[in-house]
Amino acid sequence: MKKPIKTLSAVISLFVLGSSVAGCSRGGDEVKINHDMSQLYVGFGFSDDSFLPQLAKEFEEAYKDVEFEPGKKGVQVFINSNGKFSETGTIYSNLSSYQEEIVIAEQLELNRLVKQNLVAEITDAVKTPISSNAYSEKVDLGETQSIEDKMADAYKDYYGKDGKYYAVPYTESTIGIIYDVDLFDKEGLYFARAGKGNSDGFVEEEYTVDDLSAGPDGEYGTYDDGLPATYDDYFRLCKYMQLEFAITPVIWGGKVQTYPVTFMTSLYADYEGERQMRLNYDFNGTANDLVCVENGKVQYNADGTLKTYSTAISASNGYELYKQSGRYYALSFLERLVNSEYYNSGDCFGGTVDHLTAQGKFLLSKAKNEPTAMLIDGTWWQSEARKSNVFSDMAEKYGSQYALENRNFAFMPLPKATSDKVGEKQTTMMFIDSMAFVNGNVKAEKKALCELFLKYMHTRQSLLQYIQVTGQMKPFEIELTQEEYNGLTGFGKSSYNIHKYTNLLLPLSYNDVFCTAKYLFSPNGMQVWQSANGEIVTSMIKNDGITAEQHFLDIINYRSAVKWDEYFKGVCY
Amino acid sequence: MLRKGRMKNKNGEGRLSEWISSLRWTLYELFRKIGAPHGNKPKKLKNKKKKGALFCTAMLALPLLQFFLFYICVNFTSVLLAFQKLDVNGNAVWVGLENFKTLFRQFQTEKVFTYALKNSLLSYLIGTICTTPLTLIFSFYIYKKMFGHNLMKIMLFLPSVISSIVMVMIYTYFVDLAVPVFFETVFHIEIQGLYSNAEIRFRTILFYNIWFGLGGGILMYLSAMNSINESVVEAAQLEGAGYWQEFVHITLPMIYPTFTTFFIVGIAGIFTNQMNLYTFGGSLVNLRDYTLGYYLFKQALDGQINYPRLSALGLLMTAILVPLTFLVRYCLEKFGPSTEE
Repeated sequence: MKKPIKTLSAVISLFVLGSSVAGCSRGGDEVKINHDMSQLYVGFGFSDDSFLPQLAKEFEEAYKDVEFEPGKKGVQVFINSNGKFSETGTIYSNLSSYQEEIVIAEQLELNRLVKQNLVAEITDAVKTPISSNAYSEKVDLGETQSIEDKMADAYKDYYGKDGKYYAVPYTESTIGIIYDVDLFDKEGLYFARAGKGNSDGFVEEEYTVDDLSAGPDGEYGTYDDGLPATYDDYFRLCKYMQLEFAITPVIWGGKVQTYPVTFMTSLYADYEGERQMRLNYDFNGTANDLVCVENGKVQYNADGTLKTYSTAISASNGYELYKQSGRYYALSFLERLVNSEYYNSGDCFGGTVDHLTAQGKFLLSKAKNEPTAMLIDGTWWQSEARKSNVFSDMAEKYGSQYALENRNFAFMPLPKATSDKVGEKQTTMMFIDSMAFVNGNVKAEKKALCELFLKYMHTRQSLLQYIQVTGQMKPFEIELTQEEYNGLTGFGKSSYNIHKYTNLLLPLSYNDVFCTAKYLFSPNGMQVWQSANGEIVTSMIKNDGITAEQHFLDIINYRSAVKWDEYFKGVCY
Repeated sequence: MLRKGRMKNKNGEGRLSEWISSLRWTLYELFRKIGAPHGNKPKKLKNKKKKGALFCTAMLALPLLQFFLFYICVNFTSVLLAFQKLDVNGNAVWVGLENFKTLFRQFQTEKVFTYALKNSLLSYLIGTICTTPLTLIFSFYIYKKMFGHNLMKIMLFLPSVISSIVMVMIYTYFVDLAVPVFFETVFHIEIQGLYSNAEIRFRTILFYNIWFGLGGGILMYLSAMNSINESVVEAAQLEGAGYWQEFVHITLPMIYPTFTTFFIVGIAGIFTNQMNLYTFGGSLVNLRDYTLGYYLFKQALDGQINYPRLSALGLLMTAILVPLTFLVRYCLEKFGPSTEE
């Protein structure tokens, strides 16, 4: 009896041991370790891993003849998409024991990683030209710009604190409205230029781009032409598509009310603009559009606009920012949406419909001939839908026209709260902070290789490939040729436009108040909208009949000076 | 002979003292056996004793260390934390009773505490009122090996062995999608999904907890019932006792220690029971469905800035629960059935 058990144990042990050393994964392919080559291990804790395997192959090919370690030629890149890199709770204590030399992860606290010596300094790699590296004699990457030169301005202060870099941002991600461009084009769901449309103000059945309205940026001939310029326009559009074409205007997952609620934060940030919104993270400056509240009521001017005042903001009175006008307007948008009939209640408030199900329903609606025009989700939605095989399953069942590459979606520019805001440059809130860094435990002889890989990741070619593959932008500047632009998917084009034509806002800072209670200010959390009645605003509007104004006042009462002091007095001021 | 009476031994000591004596005796026996001489080998006697002591030390070291680290140290830190605040670097700053003041202000101004307290108490009361009799009846049914007892056992235990995430998902889909279809098809009534409907969501979750919590209780009661001496049951049957009499006069008194344990453990867990809320709604549970257990969990999840206030809340809860637990235990022992004589 003992013999079979011993044999079985031996076989299992061999299998476990063998599998851990014999092969590693690269995008799902098992690749054997070649001891005549150097190895680079990359840990990936992010949702979309479709880009890295391609990058890794190209990197290996480019440097196949380069000697990174004595007696070894070429490099093998192994990507580990193990969930351990998305475990934000444990990664701080485990990172130093991981073999992965480069880590790409999201929602980590950079200052904590630095304080705990979990990341290697990469200032030189970020600040020197991409071509200038230890192996440039063998392979010339042909780029005189550095990673820092390319980095979007919104990210430089945070990542390059005190002139030192320990990480670089990985991807841009915001939450908003995704719309079906094919459906919009087919039904003409665009606002018409004055004097050119039908009686409802939309384009006629036959139309050209010259017939389109200017959109929220107020300029003709730009990427947002024909799209709703104001909140009022948005709801006019919803009504039009519902009544005229029996289209369900919008969908979101009922189980994940974070999406419509955080979408409010997008609207809020856009209303406030980059400078005013940054006060919520820096707590240093003057807030100039705080709503006057007297006797528990919002005060209005004679013309019906909000009565506002200005005040200096510091760590001790950050609670004043809960009165910012943008909050009021964003809440009013959500109130109108939730109280409307522009969505299917079973989907948008159903306890079983999560974001993936909502994506599936949105995509499938076309095939079922029960079209849904818009989805409230993040810029990463397409990658998620692809990963859950929605596109491929639909292509198999309904035909190739439903495959990802043959469908056309775009990220809708944010409509403005009021007509006087039309023409202001959009401020786009970056919700999920993701970064790439070199593990602090990296061996000295491997660091140059790691830095080289980081540089390679930021060549123009790599940045272009990233948007081609994922439909998302990296927070780095890249100017596309017309040919390159035309080659992008519809969603890729809109991601590029959002990056190029809007102000990006990175909601991170090193301010003590912010760092002490990051969850209170983080835009992807619900605390930004919490009152004593709860934090799921959509449910409160739908089930309790709460109004935007009431909730706005409830938040102000809840986030009082007393509560602020309870959190921060004695530790931050 | 069986009779109802106080649950005490001849010396009049309580159940805890009995348990301590029993533990002491078991340990004594264990040490004695390990350290006892085998044969007339006086030289080896000392070695044996040494080995025995070493073995016992080794066996006890780990649990004692664990108890010291994860109970004594954690609770000591937690008590200290109730009087401190944490700064941006996680360093503690002494603030006296400020966290308690904050809590008392929040009790008055924030609805979450009203909802959470109400739901926690409701969960315990309804859970106890419904679950206890059901568990006892089902356990007795299985214990008596009545018709279909094996099937019943499987059906009741199945939810306990399947992952709670899977069970919650199945249950949510069932109540949210299948139940409305059933009502529409059979009664031609259009109803909202039971989980989607905010008005009855908590009751839907409560039902889940009651129904799917039966398995664990049955396992314990069944085990206690199976340890009842067969001769006692046979004697009762010979005297003409039916199932009901057997249940009331033999089974219940015999398993009463298990019953009281459940009851007391339930009391101690009133404020920490999160009712699978996180499995149902993640961090997006509606405020009106909160329990105190979920509140503690969610606040801790939000960030370390909340830890001191939660520690203070924990102390307050302990101050309420400790006397309550002892009171309930005293009452159960004083007024419960006995197997004496």
